[in-house]
Amino acid sequence: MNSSDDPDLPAIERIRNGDAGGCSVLLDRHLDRLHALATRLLDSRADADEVCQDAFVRAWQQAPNWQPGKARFATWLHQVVLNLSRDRLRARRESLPLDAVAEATDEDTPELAHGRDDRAQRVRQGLRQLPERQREALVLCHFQGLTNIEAAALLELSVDALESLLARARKALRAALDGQGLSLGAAT
Amino acid sequence: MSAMNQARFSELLDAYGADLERWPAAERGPAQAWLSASPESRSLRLQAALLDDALDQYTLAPPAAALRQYLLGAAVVPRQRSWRESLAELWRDLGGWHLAAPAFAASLALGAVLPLMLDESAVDLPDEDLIAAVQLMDELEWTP
Repeated sequence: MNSSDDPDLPAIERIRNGDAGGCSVLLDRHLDRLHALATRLLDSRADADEVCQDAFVRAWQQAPNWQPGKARFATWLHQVVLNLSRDRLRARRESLPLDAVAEATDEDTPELAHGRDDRAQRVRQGLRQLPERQREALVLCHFQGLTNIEAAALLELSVDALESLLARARKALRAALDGQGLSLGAAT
Repeated sequence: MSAMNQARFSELLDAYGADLERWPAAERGPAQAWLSASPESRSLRLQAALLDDALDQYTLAPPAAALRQYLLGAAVVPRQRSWRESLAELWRDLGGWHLAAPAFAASLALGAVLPLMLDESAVDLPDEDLIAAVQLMDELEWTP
C-alpha cells in the first residue's frame, strides 16, 4: 500500500486539530495488534503493556508532526514496538545470568485467548526458543500479516534474506514442536 | 517474478506456509497453477498446513481495558488556541515588555516632536497650489 493511502491519516489530522477522538481511533485500530506483537516477541504480557505505553506516548507526540508520504503510520508503529521490544530483550540478557534468561518470564506468561490451551502453550514455548531474528520474522509475517516487503523493510533485510530467515524459523519451530511430542509430519 | 518450478514452490512453502494469501502477490497465480499440476506440491502443502494450524492456535487475549484508558489519558493533543492566546503568543514573540516598552516610549517621543518640526516647515514652505491660483486670478484680473 502506498503511504499516501494511509488509512490512519484522517485520525492523525484530527489529533493535529486538537481532537482527542483521533487518539481513540488509533487505539481501536492498533492497540490489540501491537500488544500481540510485543507479547509474542517478549513472551510477557506485562512487558508488552509497558512497550505499548511507550509506543503510544511516542505516537501521540509524533502524530501532530506526522509527514504523510514517507511511511504508513502503522508501519512506523510496528517499527517502534519492534525496537522497544529488542531493547527489553537486550536489557534482560544484560541483567540476568545466561541460564536464567530462558526462565525469566515464567511468572508472567502471556494470557492466551482460550485459556491454557496445550497446543498454544507448546507453540508459545517453541517460539520462545527461536533465535530472536527468526522469531521476529515469523511473528511479523505469520501473526501480524505483514507483506514480505513490509517485514523485510522492518528487519532491514532483502526479501530473499527474509525468505531464508522464515524458512529457518519454520523448520526450527517444527523441530521444537516435534521435540515436545506435537507431531506435524515430515519437514518440508 | 521467479519462474515457478518445484524448487521455487518449495522455497515459498518453506518460508510463507501453506496459505497462498501469505505468499508474494506476483507468485500466487503461478503457484496455484503449479499446485494444480503437481501432486507432490499438494502433498507438501498439506504438511506445511499442519504447522500453520499449530501457529494459529497461539491466539492471545486482548490487553486490559485499563491499558487503553491509560493511553487515552496520556494522549496530549495540541489544543485549539483562542484569539487571546494567539495575541499573547505574538506579544511574547515580539519580546514582551522588555522590547515593547522602549519602543512605546520612542513612539511617544516622536509623536510629540514630529508635529513641531512639521509646523515650522509648513510656515517656511510656500503652498504651490495657492501661488498658482493667485497667479491665475492676476492674469484674469479677477477679484472676489
